[in-house]
Amino acid sequence: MAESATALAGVRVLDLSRVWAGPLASRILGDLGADVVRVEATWSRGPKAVSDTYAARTGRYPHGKAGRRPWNREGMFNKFNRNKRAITLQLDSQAGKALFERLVKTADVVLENYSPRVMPQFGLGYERLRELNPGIVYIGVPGFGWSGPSRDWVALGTMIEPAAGLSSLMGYADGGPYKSGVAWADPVAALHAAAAITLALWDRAADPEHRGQAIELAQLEGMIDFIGEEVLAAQVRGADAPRRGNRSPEFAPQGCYRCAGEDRWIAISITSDAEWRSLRTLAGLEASLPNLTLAQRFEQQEAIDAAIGAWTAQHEHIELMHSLQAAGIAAVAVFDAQELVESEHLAARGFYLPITHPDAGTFVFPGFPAHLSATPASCRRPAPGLGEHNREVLGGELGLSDDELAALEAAGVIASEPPA
Amino acid sequence: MSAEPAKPFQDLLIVELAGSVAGGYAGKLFAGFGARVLLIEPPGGDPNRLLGERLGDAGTLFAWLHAGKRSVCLDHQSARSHELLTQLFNRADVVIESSSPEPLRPQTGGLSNARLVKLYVSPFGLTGPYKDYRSTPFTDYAAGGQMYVTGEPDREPLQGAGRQAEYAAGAYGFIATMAALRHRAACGTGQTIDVSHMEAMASLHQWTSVKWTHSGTIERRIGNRYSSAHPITIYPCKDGYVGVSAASDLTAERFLNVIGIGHLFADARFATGLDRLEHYEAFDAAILPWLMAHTVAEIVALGQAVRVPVGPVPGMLELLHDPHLAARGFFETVDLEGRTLRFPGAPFRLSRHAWHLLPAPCRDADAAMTLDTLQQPATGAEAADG
Repeated sequence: MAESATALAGVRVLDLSRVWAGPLASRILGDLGADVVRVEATWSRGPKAVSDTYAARTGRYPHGKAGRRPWNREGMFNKFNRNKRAITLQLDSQAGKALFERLVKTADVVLENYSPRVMPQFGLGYERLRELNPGIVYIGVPGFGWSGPSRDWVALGTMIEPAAGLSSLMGYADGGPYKSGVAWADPVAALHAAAAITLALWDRAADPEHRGQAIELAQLEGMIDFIGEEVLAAQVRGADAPRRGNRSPEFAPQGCYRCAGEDRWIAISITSDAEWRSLRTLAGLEASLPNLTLAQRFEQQEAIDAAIGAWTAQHEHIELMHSLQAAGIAAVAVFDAQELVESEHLAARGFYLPITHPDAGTFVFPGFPAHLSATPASCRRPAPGLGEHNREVLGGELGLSDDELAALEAAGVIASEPPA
Repeated sequence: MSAEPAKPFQDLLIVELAGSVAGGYAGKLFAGFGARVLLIEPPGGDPNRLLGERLGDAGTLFAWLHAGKRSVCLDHQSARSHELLTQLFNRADVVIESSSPEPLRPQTGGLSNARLVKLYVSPFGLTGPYKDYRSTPFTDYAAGGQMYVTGEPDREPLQGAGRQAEYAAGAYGFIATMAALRHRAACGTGQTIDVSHMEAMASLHQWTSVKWTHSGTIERRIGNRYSSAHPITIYPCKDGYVGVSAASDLTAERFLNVIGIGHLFADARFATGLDRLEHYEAFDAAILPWLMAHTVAEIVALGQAVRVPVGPVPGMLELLHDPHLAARGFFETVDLEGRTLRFPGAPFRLSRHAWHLLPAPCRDADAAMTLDTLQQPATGAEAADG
């Protein structure tokens, strides 16, 4: 990620979101050049003291240590919040709310992922924001939306994935519905949120009256769109698909096969008769496995899987990927975290990038997956510390004096460390 | 058309060369909000028309991805087609090229239209040592790291639901294209965007890479659970399954109180989310009798009443009857090939513009139109003719 022209320069985002979906959405905008200001409750980054035992168990603190300012050191937060500034503001206080309203007048986007009740409770629903700034693009990312009988359900991404039907399409053929190893609904909501915001900004630019709008992103609905074809197929079929494990309705054989070493695997899809012949040759299976048609390969998948697995078990997974790919076969090593971070391919594309954070040190983080030739994504600053930009934003930009800032801090409206 | 409000993308012409689900989804987001999206298919039609359950001349995958687009079949070898394509590329705002499982060999790399935004989506991207490698929707999960962390620890890793890597890469492609269009509006020039399925997936983990870089911990498969706390899982119950995400100690305690075994919380094995994860077998054994005695509806109602994230685990047909989605009008009815099908609606809702859906075009449905007509928005009447 290089320093150069940015596509979203001049766009200011007020980011009220927490955890993953919202912060990733605003980071995408930040990577593309937007000025993202996080507006955080003073307690939002957890307690002032974190034990080294807890820090080590999570695996997400630098070298397993909580350190002097643990609230600024947690790796997931720092991953999702680069390229942002951060202020603290208690929106449940009159002073905090008044300052937020002044910020809204300077902003293009307000992003939140509270449940639908929260912003109106603060007196900061869309109608109020629009009064303050008719150009504001407001986006809420609730689990189930702003209407409907389940609108007040509490939700997390790990529960949205099953509720949207994805889990019914996953799992071992001999087992029940299954969930992803990552909380998959969160990043999907992030992508749709960033898409919606860029769309609404485009719409506003084309509008003679420069009007903003409200965007309702029900995580459940966006998630269902990522399996839209399955929703249609089940209607035509009149039945849900059987649980597929690692198999495919189009390709056979297809599977995840054990390789040499501990917990090493390779994923292989055979997408044509020619590839099937190549695989048989490479694996020395010409004698044991006949030259089958696709229909025959579907019928005999179990025997084929056993034969392939016996062969792959003798080979190192990444070397095997290279030799299968050289023969034109879609085979990919099942990469773990270290292999991804150290991947020669991702290194050549400059994907992972080192970021130095004053409280956490230097670590590499995933970069931006879209490579734009004229306005590449860039990393301009590490994740902000709690309240790091209180003075810069509230003082420098809104004009509060040092005395006023001190009074706000004394009243607990702003802070640069969590309350005791 | 004149009775309808102007759409955000009404002035945009998107030329999409038939390719992958990723390119199709990027184009679908443009089409849903009013852009003219022209799908260029090879003479025999997009091979993806054959995928899924068959509906006339296209299957369910095509019907889903290409709703609201127009179709022209062009033979890139013929002089007339080449001429038409050149004219289209000169007038287009965005061209989308994508490929899966094959690597992408862009046809539009050398175009002279300096205002054009070119979106290229492919399994491993256009550069790097794997640029010529192939990947299917299945192997994409392996490339991006999701597969390694999904499944039982002592069994083979599992794929996700359908084609998640391509949808994610397509969504990234849409976002990047919007950014590029904004840049073009400011300075007049387009650019090239290279998106890979592998990087899209590698960028969409919660803490997989962070645990490795920060503490040398490799995230592994831990079964149908989550690595941050327990219970974040799918449980069986009397008439099906429930998704439970009691991620915090507060929600876990409230859940146990609902079940009537709040005293378990005093057990040191169950004190924190990570403790409960370490002792998940004992924890699950304590609550399973209650779960097996209650229905999905009962468990969801009781859990949500005390603000515990609990939800259903529907299959596709059950999802279509979800009362919440019905009340929100999420599914839209479309008549297609003599059948009435319910399509999932917009991924997000804009207050100023409705998402607009038309049936996907028949193969070459718009062949007879002139270049000028092709640049007009599709209308319901024309699509019905096709």
